[in-house]
Amino acid sequence: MNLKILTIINNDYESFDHSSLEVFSFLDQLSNNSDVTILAFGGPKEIISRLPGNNIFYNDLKNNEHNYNDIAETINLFIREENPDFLLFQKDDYGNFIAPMLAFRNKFPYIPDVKKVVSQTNDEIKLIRPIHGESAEAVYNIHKKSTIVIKIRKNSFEEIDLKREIRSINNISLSKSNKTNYNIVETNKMTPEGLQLGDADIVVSGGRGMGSKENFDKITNLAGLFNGAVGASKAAVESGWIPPGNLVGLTGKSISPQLYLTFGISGASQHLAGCLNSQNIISVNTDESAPIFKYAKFGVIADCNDFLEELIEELKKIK
Amino acid sequence: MKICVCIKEVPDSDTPPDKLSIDKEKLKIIPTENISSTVNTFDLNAVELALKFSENFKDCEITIISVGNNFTSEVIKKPIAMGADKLVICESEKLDNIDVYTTANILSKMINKTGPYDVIFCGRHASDFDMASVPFAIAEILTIPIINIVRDIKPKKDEFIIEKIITDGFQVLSAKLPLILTVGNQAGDPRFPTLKGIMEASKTKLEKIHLSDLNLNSNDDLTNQIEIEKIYFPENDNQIKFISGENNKEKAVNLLKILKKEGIF
Repeated sequence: MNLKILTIINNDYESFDHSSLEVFSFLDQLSNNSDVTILAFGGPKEIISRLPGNNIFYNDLKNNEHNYNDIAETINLFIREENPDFLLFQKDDYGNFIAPMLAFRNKFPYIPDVKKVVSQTNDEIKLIRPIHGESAEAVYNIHKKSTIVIKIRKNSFEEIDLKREIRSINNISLSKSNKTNYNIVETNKMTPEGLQLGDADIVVSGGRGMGSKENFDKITNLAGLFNGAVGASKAAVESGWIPPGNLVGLTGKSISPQLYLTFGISGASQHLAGCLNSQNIISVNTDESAPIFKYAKFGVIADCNDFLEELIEELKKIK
Repeated sequence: MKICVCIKEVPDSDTPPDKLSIDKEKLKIIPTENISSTVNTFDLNAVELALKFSENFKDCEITIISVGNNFTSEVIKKPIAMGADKLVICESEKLDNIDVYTTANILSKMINKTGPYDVIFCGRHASDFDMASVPFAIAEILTIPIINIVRDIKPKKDEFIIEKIITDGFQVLSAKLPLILTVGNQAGDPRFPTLKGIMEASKTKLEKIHLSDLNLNSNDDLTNQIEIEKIYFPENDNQIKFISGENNKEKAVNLLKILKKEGIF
């Protein structure tokens, strides 16, 4: 099917979020013969110029602090010019704001968090997305009467490899939106503690069952022994035991490590939404009926603090 | 200062999946027996931030609006018990299965009829369909600027200072009104209703607006743009193996053995 696709790749100035490469695997599911225009904001030029696509347009976002409304306005001009069949976004701060805004501005159908294409004809497309905190799924049937705006779910598609050759890209300037009445005064980034969640093969998470900040520090200790990252449930973050950047779940990070080890996390659907793509889940909880055990490969029924201490001791012996 | 908060009644998001069932006709998730619905948690965070913000002004009114069918009176009145002033709903059988476009069309008309407002607060997303869309649609329909995932708003001279959550941090913005703000749990837990608030809520009458009073164009405004074909619980054939052991030390040793054997660590 020959489709016209406008793909939006957003990154902060200079950094590149590799999960944006998942968009291109999704694109392959849509069509193997499409006319793809990439509109990239931020990210190193060297990487952007190795993305697959027929045309690449780029703004380096060097002039921080940029307003998301200006980026939306810039994309909108491309939509009018190109009239694409699909407008694709990844799930991040930019996509969460710009994708629905542009869909409603143009009265286009908008489907966020898409995890699969079921089928497609010339007239309609069927897509799957999780609902109710990922405890259920829905099949959406969208008529192809206009551009369809899609935001893809993280960790649902493979990251493609960047092309070897560097291609020429077209620099563009940002349009100025007149639909805003606010300015960014400052941006404060707090780097999450320890190894970054998205980069780790092993993630060790703690929840309400840890009971205190002092106990939670043992999670950090164990994660260090595994060379892994520290995660947390909403309860642990709200208790102030660990910064919000370490939150795993629907309103935090979505992760897919080789091993996800949880202590004192019952498995509310909001948390499961961020960790069910893990290859192996191993959970420790006192309550045999905790929902997380429905998804775990191995479980330990134990007091999580006591078990954690024993595990740290035993791990030290074999390391 | 006139404030509006948009809220939605949903099945409790903490309900485990085995206590939920699917209404195949209405294409909705419904809680099974003995489980009540609730106001979407993020909407209550929005009510909380609206209440905090209102404390900066002598003259301030908070109106809660909602759209749907079969409201549970004591559930939907919770924001009044927390301290909001008015509750206006649009309730109809026709609104049982509406998408984000229709929802936003109706809420926008309700805002026009009961407003204008200086600030409109909404939860960052509803826990049933997780679309995070309706506030953006209202912003476009009413051409009011929007800021998402706000944790604080305070007046400063003739401007407003807003803190917006971003991945791994926050941004400080200076803004003029009117604004639509979406709110998450970072704004703080919703306050508990006081006894006085609960009494107040029981006396407060639900103000109802009929669909026919909203000048909706039924072809455009009430036609869903996105269609759900089916809803289902994904199959889960996971078989957990529990690690055995006389005591926690033995269980720890056995767990490490398994990790080795499985090649995980």
